[in-house]
Amino acid sequence: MNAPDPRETFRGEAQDLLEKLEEALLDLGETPDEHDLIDTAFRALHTLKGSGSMFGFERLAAFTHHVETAFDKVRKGEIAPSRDLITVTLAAQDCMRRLIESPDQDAGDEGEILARLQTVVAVAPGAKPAAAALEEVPAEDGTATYRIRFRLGPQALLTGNDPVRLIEELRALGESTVVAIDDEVPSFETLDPTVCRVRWDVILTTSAPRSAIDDVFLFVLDDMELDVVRVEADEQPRRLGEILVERGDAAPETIAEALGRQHPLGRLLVESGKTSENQVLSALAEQNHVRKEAEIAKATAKGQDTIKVTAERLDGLMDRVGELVIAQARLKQLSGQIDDIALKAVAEEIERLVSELRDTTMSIRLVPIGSLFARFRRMVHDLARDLGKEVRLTTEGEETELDKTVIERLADPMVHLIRNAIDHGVEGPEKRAQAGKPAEGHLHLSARHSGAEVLISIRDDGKGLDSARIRARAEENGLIAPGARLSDADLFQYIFAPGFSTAAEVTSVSGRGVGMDVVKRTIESLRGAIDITSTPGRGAEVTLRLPLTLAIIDGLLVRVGRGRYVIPLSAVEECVELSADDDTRSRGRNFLNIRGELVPFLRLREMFNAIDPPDPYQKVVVVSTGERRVGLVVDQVIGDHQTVIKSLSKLHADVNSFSGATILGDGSVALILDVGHLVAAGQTFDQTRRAS
Amino acid sequence: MTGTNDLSIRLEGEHTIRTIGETATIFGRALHKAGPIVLDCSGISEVDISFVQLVIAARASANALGRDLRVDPPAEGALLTCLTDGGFLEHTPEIPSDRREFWLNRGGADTDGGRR
Repeated sequence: MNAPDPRETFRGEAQDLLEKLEEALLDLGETPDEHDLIDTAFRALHTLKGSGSMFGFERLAAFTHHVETAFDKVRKGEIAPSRDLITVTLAAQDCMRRLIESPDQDAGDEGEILARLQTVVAVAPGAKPAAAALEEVPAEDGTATYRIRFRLGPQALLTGNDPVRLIEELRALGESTVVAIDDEVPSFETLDPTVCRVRWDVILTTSAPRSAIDDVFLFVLDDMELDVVRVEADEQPRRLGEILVERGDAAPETIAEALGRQHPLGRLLVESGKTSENQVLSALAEQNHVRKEAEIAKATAKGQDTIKVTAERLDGLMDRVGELVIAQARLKQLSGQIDDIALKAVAEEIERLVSELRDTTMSIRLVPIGSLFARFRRMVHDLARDLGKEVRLTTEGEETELDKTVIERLADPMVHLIRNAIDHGVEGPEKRAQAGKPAEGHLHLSARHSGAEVLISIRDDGKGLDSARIRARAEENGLIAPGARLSDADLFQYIFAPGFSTAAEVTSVSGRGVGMDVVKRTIESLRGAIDITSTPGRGAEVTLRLPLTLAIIDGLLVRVGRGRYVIPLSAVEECVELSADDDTRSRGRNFLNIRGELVPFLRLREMFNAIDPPDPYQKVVVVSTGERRVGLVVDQVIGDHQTVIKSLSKLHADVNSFSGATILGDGSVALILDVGHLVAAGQTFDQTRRAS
Repeated sequence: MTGTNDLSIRLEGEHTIRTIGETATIFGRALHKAGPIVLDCSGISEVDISFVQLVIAARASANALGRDLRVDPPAEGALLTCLTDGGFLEHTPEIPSDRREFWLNRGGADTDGGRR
């Protein structure tokens, strides 16, 4: 085995350090008094300089030294982390990146950046008086986790005490999870609106001493209930029931009774009415918080438990697992043909092991989307500044995991969608003021799981999409007939047509109508789809629906004529029989009545020109694409099938109805249906048939 | 989306402890009328916990009368910040949060209950 090149190792580590530096700088722009951020930035610069020098990146080390010196002054409280200092340090960070990539080449603007840095440091205002928190002695054992439960007294609101501000002060002490418990808010008729009836549960992990928590409540302590308990961050987090009993929110016998029914405890307790949804939510939040902190502590304490593996090796492993799945399918088929119980037992055991190996391997490839979201913070910051707009970026669901390849290929389309949102969606401060909106626009990125898909949403609070203009341009380009009846969702899909733009002016950022078609193509190549919703004057939301993985999927194997096909199981809603009566009745209409709802269906035999006589009892596999449900009529539903996706060759690049192929247990090939394209093609086919 | 029978309350400006009496009067009037109540908070510039609490109470009363009270458009701006910072939108994958759905005006819920 070849030893890794130490310079490459440094490059990998330096990228991580630069990302940490960037994150700290951007956070510092929002909370300049946050000493932890200043320390993080300084440490990153210090390590870059030291390690850079050690691995022969002398130019980088010399350059970084000056930036580190500036941040040392910030750290010592000699100068404040001004907006100018952060901007120039971000520029310096870009320069460092270039010096890491090409250590022997002049980065071009090193001198200019250092001159700017010198000026900024010279004129920088002094820092605020030393932050009290920094000087305080941390708890002896580093960090501690506390459960803080509080309720303000009846006069608190009237005397100007704001509980949210108290919570903000708690949040400033460390990592926190806050849950408001509003179960005791009475009905409107009996509520005294000046008395706060909400109480709070806060789980806080902090290195600050216990007294820092008491200090937060210093001025309200006489008129409130406060309970602070230290929570042990065990490696094995306590169970929900244990937390609820310890808190006194549920009796032990209630827990025992619920456990006896063998259903998820949280749901049972809420349904029983003995514990409120908010109390369960708060306990679960504590469980998650403590688990997360324990994981962080474990990862920090046992760094050797984590190893870095090259992406190439992971890809190789996934390929081998794919081959194994195919071989296992063959074994399963053979064991079905031979009457040997021992062979069948072994085949079933191998099937189980392969399935577990597949899941484990796929989970290794999963990466939290937070790594992708983090990249956009800098972009949004720079873009808003360049366009003279104020944009606040918030994110949600960073922990949502997606296949590494999906994350990599998602970066460019998301850049494009975010640029469009800021350039064309979010208005400038003046226009926003005229529209009665806050000057600062809001861009929200979120990710969440939905079945076998991950939904990634890009939402802005700008002016929204102009459906009249999109319609006019679509009619002008001949994409739709004048006056054609279309839903907004369908109309908005035309913005993905090549060369389609409604922008009145072309900026350096967007507006040429180039790129949205590429966005759509890229998302579709990932077997995903795009939905758009928009409210005029209030903003737009683009949702990307993506599969969890690209390599192996669960499929439903069906037969049409002699051919066998795989339908991705995530798209399948149900299978029903197409009775002879239904078949006769539907002639000419191709609609099926499923529990009172009309569902259009496509006859795959006709679409694929199957010439063998059809089976007497045709089956309909109902699939959903976005909001549309469509039935696919097949001859036989064979069953579920672990499907290893093999790409089609370039010769089949123009075949849209299939997203790939797979090898079955008998060695034959089955095509994988691309449900989205198939529905679109089916509709065209149906329209043509009706016209003829 | 607002229906034809919906009673729409559009709130603007400050809704804090200083003005909560006036805000309560608006809600009181709405609760005395019939039909679903749609709350438009998009014009609110300043808000505190007293307002959030008032909406929770009004929703409870409306529900008790068999009426629907919903926030449309979803909470944004100062209200969204207050809800987020105040821990009203906290949720876990294990249990759907009804109030999160309410404030963010999202239909449907996520998954089943918590771990045992």
